[in-house]
Amino acid sequence: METLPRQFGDALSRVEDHRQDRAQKAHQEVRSVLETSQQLKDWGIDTVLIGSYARHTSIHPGKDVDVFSKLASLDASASPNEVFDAFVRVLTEEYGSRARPQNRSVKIAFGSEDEDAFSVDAVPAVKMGSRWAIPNRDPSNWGGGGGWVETDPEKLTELTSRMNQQPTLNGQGMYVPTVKLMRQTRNYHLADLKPGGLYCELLTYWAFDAGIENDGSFAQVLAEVLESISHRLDAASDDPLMDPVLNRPFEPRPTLTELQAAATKFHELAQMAQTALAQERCPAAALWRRILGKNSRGWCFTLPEGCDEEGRQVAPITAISSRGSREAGSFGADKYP
Amino acid sequence: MGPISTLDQSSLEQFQTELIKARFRSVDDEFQRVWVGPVPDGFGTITDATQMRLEFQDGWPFRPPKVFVPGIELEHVNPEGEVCLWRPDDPSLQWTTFEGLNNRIREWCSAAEGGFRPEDAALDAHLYFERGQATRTLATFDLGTLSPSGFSDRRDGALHGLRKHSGLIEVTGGPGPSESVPGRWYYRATIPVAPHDIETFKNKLGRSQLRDFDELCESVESRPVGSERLALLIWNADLKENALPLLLRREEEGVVAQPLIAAPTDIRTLSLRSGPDFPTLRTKRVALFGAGAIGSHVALLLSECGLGHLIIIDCDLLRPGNVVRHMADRRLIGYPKADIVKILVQASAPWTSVESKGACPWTLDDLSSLTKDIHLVVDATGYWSFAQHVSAYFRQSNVPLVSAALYRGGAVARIRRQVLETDAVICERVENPAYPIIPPDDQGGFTLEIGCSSPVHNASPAAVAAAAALTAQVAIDALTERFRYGDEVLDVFSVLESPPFDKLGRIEFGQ
Repeated sequence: METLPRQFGDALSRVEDHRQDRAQKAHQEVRSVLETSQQLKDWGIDTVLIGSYARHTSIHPGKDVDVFSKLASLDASASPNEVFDAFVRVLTEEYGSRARPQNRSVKIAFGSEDEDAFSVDAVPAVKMGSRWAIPNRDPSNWGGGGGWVETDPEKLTELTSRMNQQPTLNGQGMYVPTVKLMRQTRNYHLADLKPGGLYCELLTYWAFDAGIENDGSFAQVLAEVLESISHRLDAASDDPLMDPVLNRPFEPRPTLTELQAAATKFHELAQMAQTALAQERCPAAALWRRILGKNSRGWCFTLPEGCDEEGRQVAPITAISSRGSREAGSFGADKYP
Repeated sequence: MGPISTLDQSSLEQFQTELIKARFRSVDDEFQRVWVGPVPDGFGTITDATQMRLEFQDGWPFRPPKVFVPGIELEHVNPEGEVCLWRPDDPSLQWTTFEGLNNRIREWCSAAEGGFRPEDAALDAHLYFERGQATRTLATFDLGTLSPSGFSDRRDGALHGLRKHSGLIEVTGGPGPSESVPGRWYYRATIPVAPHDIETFKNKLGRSQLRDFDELCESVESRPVGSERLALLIWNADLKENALPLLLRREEEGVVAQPLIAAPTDIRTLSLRSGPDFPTLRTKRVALFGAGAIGSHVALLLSECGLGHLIIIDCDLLRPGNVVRHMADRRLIGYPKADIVKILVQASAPWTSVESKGACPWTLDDLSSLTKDIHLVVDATGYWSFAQHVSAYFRQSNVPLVSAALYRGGAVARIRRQVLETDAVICERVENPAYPIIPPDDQGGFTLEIGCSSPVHNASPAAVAAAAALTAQVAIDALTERFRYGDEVLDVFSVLESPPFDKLGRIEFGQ
């Protein structure tokens, strides 16, 4: 079995989201802004980074940075309107047009161009029992009893961290890197279609939770996870995917059509992965390349030395290029631009 | 821009992965040709820039990526900020790893701070001037004639340029005819970094030179659109002078400076490609008998290598059929071959004084007078009888001789030397078993041509050129008194039936 460890290492580098540090800094900045408000301080403001940046499962080119703003002195009896208005006021005073109120959060633009640009999505939360609650996605419901929706994003961060403890490869947990590779695979093959990245992450979570064989290679693990996900997607219409934090079906649920399309694609990818495991180096690499696809940095799965994109062996030019030549310079055109 | 053309996608992707790890990002999502990232520490001492650009060229891994860093004003950095880290033909492939790139950046910065080696001087100043990458116009000049009294710091003078059919501008000192482009030259003793735009050009000038240059610009500006002036900045750059010619043209928007490619025509520059024997050969005199296919090539080769004086002796006219193997082309058909070769030599090797003799001498008096004070005679007539004749005569008169001919339709080239006491006399080698006879061709091996009773041997132009090159090598070996060749050298281009000619390659005797 050809496990291509270097290429999987390259793939992880190529999907790495380099904005992790900047996300942390942006979170600290937003936190300090929110703490300037006496009212929010009175409500017990405390912020925490959540979402894929908190779980270290974000991939290039990255998404919004989610900042969970806990108001420990408030509970679900508080008015979502009053809380949200206070929240919006503080942030728009500081950031002006860079802060744009959304349905239940405030989006703040950071960076200026291309890949440098990203947003912080800050959402207020109040206590709900042992968990937290955020405003309903639909503000028209804020007046009645459905103004707050239960959530516990920190728990998912904790579960992720725990799942990443085993199995390991070279002392590093394999779960988080596998989530990244699965998110990349989903992004490339499903793009804007549902189910989205978090759903895909939870599919991977349950695949790991069921137990996977670890032969010390991402090739084997990824093949198993793809196989598991494809079957889980088949069953998801009758047996919805569970949110491991809230112990109830994940919301929003994908439609039947969306699940069927995703299942078809993941069956195809799982089959390719099984084939890759049985292939020689070059054809195996070509298959993994197709499975992981591209991002704006190019193909995520790099070609091994002496292999072309079709999976054929080619003359090993790399052997020459790795050392160059020390022979005398040849006589030729003065310039061949 | 399309995909990066490479025969090694694997190493390209490896390198790009290293770029990603170093926090570079592709700004060309479709093809990943252009990347932007943090300026490596190596550049830290010479620029305040924090971001650099890296642009892949087709031909990876054998061509390095272009590296652009803003804010560096040094030699080998063009106005677009491209840092020339490697020579175009650098064989190191150092750029195929990020570590290699960083190492080269450190080496380059160290050289930039301590001074580049003389051999690394950026003598292509037009490339470092605005719009210079696209310029395709040469400006030829001879610095020796531009200012016959020489150059000194802050001097300037008049020049003019004449446009030639190929588009080049031939620059000469002093004022010119009305159809020429007038201009000025400016000399500075030292300029650390070549100018990259009109402002930095001005900054390099002395005070009175600057006034003069401003007047030159004003004289263009006050004239109609399309008017032109020339400005030539000359300065000393380590081993030799450097120069930047500018064509100042009045455009609708004002005066635009177009850099031209400096193309010196002095002997020192022209002889840079003449080979290492140039100084020795300039003192030598050669008489060449036969200005036909082999002879014309030999004449050019010896002259271009530096020969001081050449007498060309041939009584034939150039025929249409000769052109295929001769150095001359069809425009010269009908002229005496000796005169033609003289013209060709003068056009390519201005240091060689040439005489042409339209004669086919056999008398001892003629041979004697033609070879007076000659260091070497080259017989390229291809006539067996003439070779025997001059061999016998020059043995008596102690005139060094090299005789060259092709045999068997160009299958074998034979170059015979009769220079040293130990060299066998050419005309006696027929009887000498140490020198095998080239077997005759039973099939005849020649054809005839109307208007010419001599048989035409169908040796290919390739065989002729190879034989001529070998003749020139043997002649130069003798003229420089190295004598590393034997007294008879044969090259077999096409195998014959009997040894030692039944194998391709070189056969040498008398070593």
